[in-house]
Amino acid sequence: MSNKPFSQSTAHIRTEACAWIAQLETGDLKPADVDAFREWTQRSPQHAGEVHRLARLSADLNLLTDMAGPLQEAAAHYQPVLAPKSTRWRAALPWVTSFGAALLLLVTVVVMRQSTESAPQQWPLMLTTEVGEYQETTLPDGSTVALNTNSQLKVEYTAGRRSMRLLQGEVLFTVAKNPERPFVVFVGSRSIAAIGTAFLVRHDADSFEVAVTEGQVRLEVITMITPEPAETARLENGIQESPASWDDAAGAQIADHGPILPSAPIVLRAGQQFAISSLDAPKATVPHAVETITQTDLRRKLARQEGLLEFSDTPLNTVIREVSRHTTLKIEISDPALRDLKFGGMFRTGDTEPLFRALHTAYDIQAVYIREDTVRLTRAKSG
Amino acid sequence: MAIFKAFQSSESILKGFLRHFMASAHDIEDICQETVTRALEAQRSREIEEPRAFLFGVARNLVRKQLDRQSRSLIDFVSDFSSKDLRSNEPSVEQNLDGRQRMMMFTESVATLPSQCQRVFILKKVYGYSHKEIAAKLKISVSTVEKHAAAGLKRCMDEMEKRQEQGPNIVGFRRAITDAGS
Repeated sequence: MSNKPFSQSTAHIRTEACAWIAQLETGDLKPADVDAFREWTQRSPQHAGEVHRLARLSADLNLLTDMAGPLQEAAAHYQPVLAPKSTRWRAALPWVTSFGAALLLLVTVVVMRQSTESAPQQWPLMLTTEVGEYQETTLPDGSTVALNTNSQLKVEYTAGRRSMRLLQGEVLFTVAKNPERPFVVFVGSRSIAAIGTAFLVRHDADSFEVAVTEGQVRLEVITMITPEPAETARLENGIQESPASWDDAAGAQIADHGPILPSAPIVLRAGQQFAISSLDAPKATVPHAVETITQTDLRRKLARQEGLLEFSDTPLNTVIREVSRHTTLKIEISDPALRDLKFGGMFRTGDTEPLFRALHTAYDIQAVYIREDTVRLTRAKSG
Repeated sequence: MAIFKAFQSSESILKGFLRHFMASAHDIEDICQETVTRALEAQRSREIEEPRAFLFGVARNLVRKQLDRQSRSLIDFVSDFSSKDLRSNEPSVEQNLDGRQRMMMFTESVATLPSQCQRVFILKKVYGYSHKEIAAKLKISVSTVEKHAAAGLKRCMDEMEKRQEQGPNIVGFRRAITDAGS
């Protein structure tokens, strides 16, 4: 069908159908317009079907009127977060702008595919995911950020720099190369400058981790004086003295790990990772921190981003910690002896029952709901 | 009585609220009248606990009904141009998603629009402005409004189809990760 010389692609038909609907919605059709519309719809059943579907969709979109109330509220709550810069729009149309802004936050993720539009995007952008949620966002320069469960990322683009601040969680960055405009990720007191690259950064209360899948990244500790990354003229080496003084309120509860990195930047290449966990090794030293990761490990980390958790020979304690990031269910291990049991398998994030079943089969461990939101893992007593 | 009192005390706020939805003072007056009439009718048959919230709810429903009426007449118009079998066989829009999911999907789609396009779409679909009103408000031409409205509609349709293909729980990661050589 699509190979026939006269037929048009589905996308093209849709674009035209949308234009027709918009014109019909304006009203004031002249007889010539009506004739043209008739001619268009009769070109093929696909033409007629598409315009019909779009008319119905447009009707369905009326439910968006319900957004008016929540938007008004959200605008009142969220305005300060967006640090609005005054534009002529704001002056002319205060409520439209603030509602638009609130809408961005309300849906928690923004994809800006077409940066060609005249009005500039307001920075910074807050991208967030809830527990069990994953979102990939394409930024105006073509870079993508993929937020794993329970993550918060602040994005700010200026003419000279693309700045991100990972407040919490895990993000896979895929950077569009542009040496003129460095891509820098801030985590606590660290900065990660990317050189045409894909890398994964994870920042939780008890761990900090960078894994490079493509290209290379430079990791350094910065002495932070100014409150915003956009205002930091250049990154400085040196051990951070006062921890996390410019963490936002949202990120303030996240523990920083103090002066662990050396003053000289570390360069990580594809297949390398840097990881510290204050729980496992509070005094982790740098030589141990950088390690080469196998392709399997790397794949596993990325699979994690896609909603899959894969373990092999992993202590149960770690398994549960990982699983817990993706669910609001609290999982307790009552018997300390169970913590170090080695466990393997692949699970879909957020779906805990298959894990519990596997634990039962493999180790005779029972998952008992002690509260609605809490499960305790115990070894079934034999006899 | 409670409704009437609530109306008297909040008439100007109600009108301000309606002004978000429509530009014409005449329309606002009409909807206001209709709102009070309906609310008073409702009060006869049952106790209304929050008269003010009730009034605003009625007003919003009226606005929505007006939009729906316009949409239905558009559907009828379009249907007149297409064959009958098409009308009955065409699957309804995203029947497997509930209202809340659809709302989320649409708001996400709208959020992905370029900012000027987003303004147009919000004025149109959230606040029910006509294309001409939007053009006057944003000081752009009606044909530019149409262009943005068309782009917004297309984005919503594309997004909806994407969801249908993927199913509700699949994450949209497209990256080929497996053979990233080191």
